[in-house]
Amino acid sequence: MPEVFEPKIVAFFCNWCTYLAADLAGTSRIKHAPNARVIRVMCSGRVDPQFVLDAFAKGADGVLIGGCHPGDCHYQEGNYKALRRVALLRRLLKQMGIEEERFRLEWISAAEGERVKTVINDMVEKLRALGPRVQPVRKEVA
Amino acid sequence: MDSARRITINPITRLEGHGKIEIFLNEQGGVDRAFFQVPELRGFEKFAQGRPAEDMPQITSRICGVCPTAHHMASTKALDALYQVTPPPAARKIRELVYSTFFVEDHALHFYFLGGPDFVVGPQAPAAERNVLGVIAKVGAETGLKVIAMRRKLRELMALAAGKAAHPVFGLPGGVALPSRASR
Amino acid sequence: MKPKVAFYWCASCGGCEEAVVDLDEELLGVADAVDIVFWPVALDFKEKDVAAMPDGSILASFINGAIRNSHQQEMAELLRAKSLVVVAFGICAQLGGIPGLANLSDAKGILAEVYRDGVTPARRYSENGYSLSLPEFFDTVVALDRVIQVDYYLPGCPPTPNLIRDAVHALLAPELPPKGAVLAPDHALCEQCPRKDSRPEKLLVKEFVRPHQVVADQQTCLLAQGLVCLGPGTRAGCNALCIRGNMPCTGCFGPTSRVRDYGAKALSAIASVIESNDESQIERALEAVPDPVGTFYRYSLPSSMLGRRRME
Repeated sequence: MPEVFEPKIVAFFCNWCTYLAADLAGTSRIKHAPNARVIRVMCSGRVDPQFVLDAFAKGADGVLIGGCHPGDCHYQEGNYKALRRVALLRRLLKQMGIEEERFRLEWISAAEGERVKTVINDMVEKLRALGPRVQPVRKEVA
Repeated sequence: MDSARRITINPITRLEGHGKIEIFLNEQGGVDRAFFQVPELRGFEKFAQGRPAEDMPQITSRICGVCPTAHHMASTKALDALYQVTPPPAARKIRELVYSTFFVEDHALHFYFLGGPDFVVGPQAPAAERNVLGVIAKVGAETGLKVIAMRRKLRELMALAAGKAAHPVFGLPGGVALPSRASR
Repeated sequence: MKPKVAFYWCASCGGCEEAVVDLDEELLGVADAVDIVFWPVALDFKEKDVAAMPDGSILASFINGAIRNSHQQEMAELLRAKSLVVVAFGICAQLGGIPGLANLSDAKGILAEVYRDGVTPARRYSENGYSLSLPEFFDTVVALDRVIQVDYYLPGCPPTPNLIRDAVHALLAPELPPKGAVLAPDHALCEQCPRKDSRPEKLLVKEFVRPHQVVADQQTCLLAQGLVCLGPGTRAGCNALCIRGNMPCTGCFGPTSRVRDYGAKALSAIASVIESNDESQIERALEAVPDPVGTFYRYSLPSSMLGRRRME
């Protein structure tokens, strides 16, 4: 039987909404794919584009950012900051040969445990279809 | 290959760019074959593709940092043609001022630093003297300093009009980025 | 005996040598204080002269240019062995520079474009029993510190004569700067920008404009006028030359010490000034930034976290 490709997703979830949603998914025993490694950040606006690039550079197959819905940010407009950065970063990643499906921004409120499942499962499926991301090898100091 | 029959000049010096010459001699000591090699390629032809047209003057100037103004100007003129615009007389004069200044400055560089030492110091002079310092020794420190000071002034003039002398930034389709002013 | 100094160029344009020449009268002083033992653009010494020197006999080698082929790597290694100190001179050596944009392609793509249907360079060539070789043309351009240990960095395209002068003095002083130091001010260019005072406290723009689409005001902050000026994400040291020339900063001094990936940080700075919370409006504003990689990684693609485009 051929081995199923298990994509590695680095997920940055905001403390106030998406992380709580993931928690809720857990306590509600909602099953979803185990491929996301969740990193809790205080706000989606805290996700520096360097974090995303670092994740890809270190071999992530996909990066997911989860934040509060527009208007619901705990810090007023951190998620809008994320939205602007992501829009530009998405264009840059595309030029770098990273397919659009590999990088995703989702608004998931604390009540939407079910949505955590849908998003992660959907992303895993799309990444499986794309296959593993091969990060070009870089030469290091001898 | 007998090393006495192979002469390698590596690198060729006093010009912008990388080069190497290999000369092979025949039994009589005459030149049998000579090869000029350029072990260098950066690929501007490829990586300029996909960049916005208006970035070309600043990207192509990096083809050569000794004559960046030439590349910058060629790209700027290409932009004029692309957008089908003719620069107004003032912009044209500013471009000509910068280019003429560059022309003089570049020739001074060639005469003192690059080609000149072969003629002024001479090909028979020791390698350690066949350079700008040898030229200055030959023409006299006073003249040398005068030329250096003149070149500095020319570079300053270019920077005033073009932003930078090394890799100018003033070329835009149909004109220049900075109008001229009476003082600065 | 005077200390020995070498200058060398890898994948570069000669602008860094020109910057040294721009020391003008002071260059004669430098030539008095040190023995320049290798400098292909100006002096007739050969590679074999360097090879014949004892290891560690050169005080400092100033190497500019990125590493694009095997010969450049060999020369970097040779000069490293001969030198006590190696300075990555200019942004190509420091971060990859404009030749690093080639990392959007690979060796095959570049050779196919440059030589088209003509004769493609062969690594080995024989004629009449004489054999010649060319360096290996790498797929990926790297910065100097990817192939040798680098002690100091001098940013800029090219570094300015003032910074070069300060660097030479720093290296001749009894106490050397800390290893790995970037020999330029460690703050953003905005702080030395002549238009600093015109920069609004909360800088926001509805749309970006490209330099040829607008007659830029000569006094006002360029970013506030909607021009993509990378001053906020770029290290100071150039005295804002481009901005004085009424053109936006393109980032040739690279990042400050607190930033690992220049492009990511510059991108962040630009994205954050968009005055909109609406996705489609944001997308519209970004249409005036048609080439993010060429804009934000113009001088630093090889040393970015991703380093190169992934080829199909």
